[in-house]
Amino acid sequence: MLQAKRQLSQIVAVVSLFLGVGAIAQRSPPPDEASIALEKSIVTEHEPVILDIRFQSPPSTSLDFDPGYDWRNVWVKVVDPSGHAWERSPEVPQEGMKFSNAVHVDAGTERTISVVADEWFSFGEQGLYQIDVVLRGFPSRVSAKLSLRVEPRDNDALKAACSGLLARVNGSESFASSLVAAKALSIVKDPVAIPYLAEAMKRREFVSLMIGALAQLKTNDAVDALIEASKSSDPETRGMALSALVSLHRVNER
Amino acid sequence: MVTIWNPADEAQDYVFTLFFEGGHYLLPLHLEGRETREFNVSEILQNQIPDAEGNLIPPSVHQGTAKIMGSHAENEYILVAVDFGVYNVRKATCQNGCATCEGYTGYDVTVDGFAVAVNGTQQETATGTYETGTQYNLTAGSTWTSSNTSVYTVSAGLVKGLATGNATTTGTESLPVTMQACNEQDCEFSGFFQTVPGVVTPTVSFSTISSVAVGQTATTTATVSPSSNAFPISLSISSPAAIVSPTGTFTQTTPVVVKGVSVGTATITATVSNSDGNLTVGSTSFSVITPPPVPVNFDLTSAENAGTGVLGIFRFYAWTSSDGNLNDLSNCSMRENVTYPGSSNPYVPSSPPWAGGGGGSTYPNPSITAPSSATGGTSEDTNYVSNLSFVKPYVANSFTATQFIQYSCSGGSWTTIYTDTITRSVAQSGGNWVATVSASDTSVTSTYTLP
Repeated sequence: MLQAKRQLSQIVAVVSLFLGVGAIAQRSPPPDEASIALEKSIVTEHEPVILDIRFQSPPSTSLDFDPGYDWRNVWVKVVDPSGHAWERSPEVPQEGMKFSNAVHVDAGTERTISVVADEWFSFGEQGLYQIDVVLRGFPSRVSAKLSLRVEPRDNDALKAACSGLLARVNGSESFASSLVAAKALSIVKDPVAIPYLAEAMKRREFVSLMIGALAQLKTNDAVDALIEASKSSDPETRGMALSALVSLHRVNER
Repeated sequence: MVTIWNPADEAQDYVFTLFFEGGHYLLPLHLEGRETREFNVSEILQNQIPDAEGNLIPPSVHQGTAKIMGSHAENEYILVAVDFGVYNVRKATCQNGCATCEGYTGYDVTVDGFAVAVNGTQQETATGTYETGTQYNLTAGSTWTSSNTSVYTVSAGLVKGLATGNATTTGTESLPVTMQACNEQDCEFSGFFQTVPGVVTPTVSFSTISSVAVGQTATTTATVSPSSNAFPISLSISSPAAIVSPTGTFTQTTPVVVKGVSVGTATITATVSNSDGNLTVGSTSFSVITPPPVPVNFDLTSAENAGTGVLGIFRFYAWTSSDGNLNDLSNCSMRENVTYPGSSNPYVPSSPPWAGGGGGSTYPNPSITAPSSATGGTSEDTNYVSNLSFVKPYVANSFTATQFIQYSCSGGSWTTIYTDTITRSVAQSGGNWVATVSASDTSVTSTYTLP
């Protein structure tokens, strides 16, 4: 039943697309009011891939866009260097609260929302990727064909990337921008990220994110960082770090 | 031989005092006008008759001095003529003459070892010791001078401290000065004198409060100088803000908690009361600003179950911004914080069949989601059991999870905006074992008949 509902909603969205009826956007932006781009078209291996969607509202009209829970209204297809095409896996209900990423762009202003594409796809293979993006819910097709090159791992470049993300975590004007940087940092599957993860943990909102990232890295340095966090004066940080350490211990036992 | 003549026309009463080593002897004399009296000191010695005070002159005494004065006081004005002769029976010699002067033999001013506070006073006393040993208070009649009138002044013995010796230091610093009190030209006295800042008016400085929002609190530290201050300090504040603490006076450095009341500029004023009235000793001003927007009115908008053949419910929520504009929540984040019974982490349900329950057979306690931006305005909560592999034998059981929806703005602490509970239970119903998921904020439930 659930699956049927989900499929039905997708069908409605597709039909809306063809009928030119904005099912989600309150006012449909013409293509020049929305643009899609990669923050970096060339990255080093393990460096996160960030997709920016920029909205620019005309002087007299505001603009709304709801990417949906789990960004279901942002359709993405990736063709990897081997020629395999990948789409996001079907949505499976998961325990927990999901918060909307809907945006409202006031008249005459612009706003950019970003998403870490690594949350959906793996860019672990070196080479050239082709990325197609379509914003669902617009009568006018808003889409982009993007190219991404993943180059061999460069330790210095990776460090610089982590440093830049940490600076964004702490220095962004909005929480949403900080959050994107934090998610990108947490998704770097490389030990070089460990000190940056530990530093980002000092920001209260990102403790759970960083502890989860450290737990996934599982290296000795990551465990050391978790042990350090488990001594935090903040009971919440302490509890989450201990929980992660317990989890790692069980993994090791296996 | 002593000859006393009263040259006045009227009678006078005298006291002729003999001084010797170890004591004195009083001989009262009443002489009529122009009367003359003669007597031998040796006879007085031989008679051994006690004087008015019971004194006797020991027979071993062979020398001493004598003084004549009025019977009422040592310094009483009298008119008298005295003559005496000394006859040495062995050497057959005699002599005449006046041996000593009359009057004060010493002066004292009580200045040593005392100190006066700045703005404080200290009454000093000048004392003259008469030749007879009697002491007289000469304070009023003395001339008092200060060697450093910037440090203290003195008048009729009343010393007033003006300043410490070193203006840039406090407490124990002092400047030695001298004091003189004179009654006669030859009676100067110098003393050691200190001024200490025992009653220095305190000053209060405040640490900066950049701003405080209406309804919120902020803390400034009121630093009191000197640290030895004993003056009670009072605080007052202008109407855009109120003082939460301290509620009374204070004397030492203390934290001051203020609360914003209305938008404007508030001023904290510190005052002390002294003889001059209320004296302002410090102040600080800060802005009371409109509180930054926060998420409000978080509430359930709808709920649905996951359908037949699955176990789960979906609940949908919405919220607004306290200023009505969700975009103004750009510095706010939201998250879900779920706690399970007890303090064990992870939480393990007391009995099966929840081996396949949401998240597995155990639940991190607490389970905290990664934060999300608060600008979206809507959320969806899923309580869904994806793996329906229950463990046999089935045992009736139930457990709850408490869900806290929380927000944090500008990196502040997490504030709970909404609370509800999720109940997961297994029970027998109509001969079947049924698993149920329900929530406290909706009547929508989901049931699943266990195979």
